[in-house]
Amino acid sequence: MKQLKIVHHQKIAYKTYKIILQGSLVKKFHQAGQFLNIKLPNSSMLLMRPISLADIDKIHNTCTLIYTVVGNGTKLLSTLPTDHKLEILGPLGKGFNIDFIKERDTVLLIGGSVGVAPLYELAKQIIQNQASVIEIFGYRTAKNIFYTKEFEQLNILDINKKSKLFISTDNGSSGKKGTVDNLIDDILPQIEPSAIYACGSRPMLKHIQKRFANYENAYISVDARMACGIGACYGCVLPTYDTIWNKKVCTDGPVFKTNEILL
Amino acid sequence: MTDKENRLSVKLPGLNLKNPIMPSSGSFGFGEEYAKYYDLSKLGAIVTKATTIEALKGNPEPRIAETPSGMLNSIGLQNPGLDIVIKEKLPFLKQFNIPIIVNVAGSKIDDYIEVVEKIANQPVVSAIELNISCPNVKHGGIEFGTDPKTAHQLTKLCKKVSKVPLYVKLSPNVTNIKLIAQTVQDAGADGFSLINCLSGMAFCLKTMAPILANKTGGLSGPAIKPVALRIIYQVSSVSNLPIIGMGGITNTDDVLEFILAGATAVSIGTGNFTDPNLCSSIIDNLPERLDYWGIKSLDEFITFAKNRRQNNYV
Repeated sequence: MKQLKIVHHQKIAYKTYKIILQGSLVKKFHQAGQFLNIKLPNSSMLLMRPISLADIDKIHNTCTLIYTVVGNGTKLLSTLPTDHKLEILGPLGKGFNIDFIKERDTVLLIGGSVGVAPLYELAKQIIQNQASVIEIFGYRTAKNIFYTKEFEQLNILDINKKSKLFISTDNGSSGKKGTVDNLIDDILPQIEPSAIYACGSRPMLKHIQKRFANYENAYISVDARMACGIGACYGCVLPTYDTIWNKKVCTDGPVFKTNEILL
Repeated sequence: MTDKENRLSVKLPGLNLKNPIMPSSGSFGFGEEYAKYYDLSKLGAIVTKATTIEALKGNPEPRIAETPSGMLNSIGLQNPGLDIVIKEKLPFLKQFNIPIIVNVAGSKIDDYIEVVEKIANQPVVSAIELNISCPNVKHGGIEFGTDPKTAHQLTKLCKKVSKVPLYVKLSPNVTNIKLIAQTVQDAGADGFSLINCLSGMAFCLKTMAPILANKTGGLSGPAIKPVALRIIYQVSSVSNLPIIGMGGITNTDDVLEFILAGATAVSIGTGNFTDPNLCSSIIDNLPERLDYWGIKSLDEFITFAKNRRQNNYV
């Protein structure tokens, strides 16, 4: 367990917070899609909270996490002030594999609600590698949207000038009305993505999994209730298509190929 | 062994432990994951995840739910099965040169007997923890641990084929723990592991359904510590067999509390999830806490605790 200090903590959307942590542990953070396990300063909340890395800044030794308040743990986390030191285990898990992405490739990122968070670091790394990203993000309503500006600023850095952000909301209060699926219908015929990366709710990922089942490089990042975060408790397992063996979300994932696990 | 280590050493049948701390079955896999965090050879012993005759994939997820000061799990004994445990897991554990206790579970008496016999024949295995108390499988586990007759029969048959001492892990989900303990002792058990998880539930108001896919699960963590202490105390009042105590231990003083209740050694389960280094830090902190409480050695403290119990703690 290492400590990271809260240097910034801010509400950025409905029930959604951005927290920036600083410390030497950040030197070990490399891959988008990996997560940190955060110990809460309340001994009755035993289990650490797994939250994925949204941004890694090696120059300032900081990392950004974006989380939604869903229960008592994240509620407590949202009240912690700057300068508070958090006990951290990580980085954990296998993140997004981008080794095969070539310059000038186009990559499709699909995010749902807070699942958009890890796609920021991913988009940053892909654009730095001189490839382009098409971001398709779905939210419930306009109130839930975050990081629009940040993604637009990233997209400007794309040397191929092809990166672009598209947004949908369930009620049409911002962007296209409906789910990400409607946007995918519009955009997919116009691009030939060399990879698809998605992160969001289980229903969304199930759908993505079906839709992109035959794609060679389609990846989904999965959320699960977990205890240890290091592969020992067998709590966060998912069944696989081809074997009797389960895969662990914490160490085999959280990022899987679409045909690797059964949701 | 240095004096410092000697001070922490405890003895149980088949187990000469340099300290009384071991990870509990089910919280530590077969050690591979935690070996990345600290040198496992500093542990008193390691208790493996439950081993069954065939590989088990366990229950559907969600398998985990946090509850106040505790957690529910419904893993369902997922494990790679006897053959792989013998071929791959035990050879890995051998390198740490400490006693290895294998937790054995099954759904039929014959399965238990076969696994116990084969596991006990592995030179690296010092003792067996007979799991007759898993609350998360439909057949076996807890069924064997809640009926005194079955518990007796199973213990007797396993004891017959086991080359190494047999510690029977009892369920707290019974009305008369003393009765089960006595029955298991009469059947030839060498010691007890107390306690397994308490059966419990948690609901989600968003889905209006239980959080666990299995609906019920095993409650562990500090929430069950008072229950564990009570059961250890009750069993030690009717049996002289040594007890490995467990249930919500998170610090060194908890270890001493368990010894006062009647344990000779302890194991740490859920605590490993709150801090992967917990067993290691408890071992490091023990000498200082012994100094603080004026305890010379754990061996002496175990005798002291026994006298305290016999004199009704007066």
